[in-house]
Amino acid sequence: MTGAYLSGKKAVMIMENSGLRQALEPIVRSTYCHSLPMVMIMCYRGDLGEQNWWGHNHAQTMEPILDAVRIPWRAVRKIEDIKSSIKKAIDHSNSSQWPVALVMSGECVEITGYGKN
Amino acid sequence: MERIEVIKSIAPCVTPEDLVTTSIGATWDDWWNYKPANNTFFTGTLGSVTTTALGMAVSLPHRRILALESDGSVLMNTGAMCTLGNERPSNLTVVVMDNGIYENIGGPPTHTSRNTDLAKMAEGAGCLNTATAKTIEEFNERFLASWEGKEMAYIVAKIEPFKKHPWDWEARKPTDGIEDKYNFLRYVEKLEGVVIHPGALHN
Repeated sequence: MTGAYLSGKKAVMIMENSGLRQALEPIVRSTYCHSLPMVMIMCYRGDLGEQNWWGHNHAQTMEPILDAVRIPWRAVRKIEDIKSSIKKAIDHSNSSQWPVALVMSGECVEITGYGKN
Repeated sequence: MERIEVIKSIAPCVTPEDLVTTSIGATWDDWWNYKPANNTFFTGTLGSVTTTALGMAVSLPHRRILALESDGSVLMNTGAMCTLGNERPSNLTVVVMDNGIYENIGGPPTHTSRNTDLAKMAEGAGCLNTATAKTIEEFNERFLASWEGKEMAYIVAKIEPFKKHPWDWEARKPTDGIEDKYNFLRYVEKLEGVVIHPGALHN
């Protein structure tokens, strides 16, 4: 992300929130040290309705972690909101020179038949 | 071989059209005094030097990119080797200053002071042209071939521990991480003829 941005390219980070704890040190250190924009798009594992027992911890830790490291974040749950949310996140991140996280949930990440009895 | 010898060998080969990233620590001050231009991003994140250079190499395939790494930084994020070994950007050369210690915090040993071999790890991760240089002659030969070559290279320079060059205070890098970012960002904007950050837009 840092190298691509500083080379004039547009980049977003795409991951599941289960990887946030592992990825946190380079994200936080780079942004605090250099004040760098970074748009993070994550899947909101553990949001209301989670059916996997192992999924809940990722929400329980993601929310306070993002607040603790002062990364503004918003949940996006409707497909019609995806495009405008990403545009706002890019604008916000560029003008603040700071990361912004969008956490996709609800109908944005539903897989038909997956996890259903 | 001392770090400053390696820096002095590299510096004449790097032109203002090339881009460089450096690891945190003594390399900052050494390279600050030998860099040919503001073409260097002084990475303040241990573990993110190779990844930052990789982002540059993939984004700007027409430019040569040099990563001045350190053993402490590489060991903090060994997974980066695998990404590098899969991408193999032909315009990227990584030089690891490997002194086997965490020198800036007093010198406790890193794993490379015992059994860990970073060049072999890089080879196993898929990197090309991996090598360990134990003398400045070996290093010069390897570096020149890599820097002028057409494939990526990963060179581990085994440098002596506890040999920080004693720069006067005035000669040390005076900039902080945010000034470093803007120096580099504005340099790339001019070099590439692009706008990366338009500055303080306001109503």
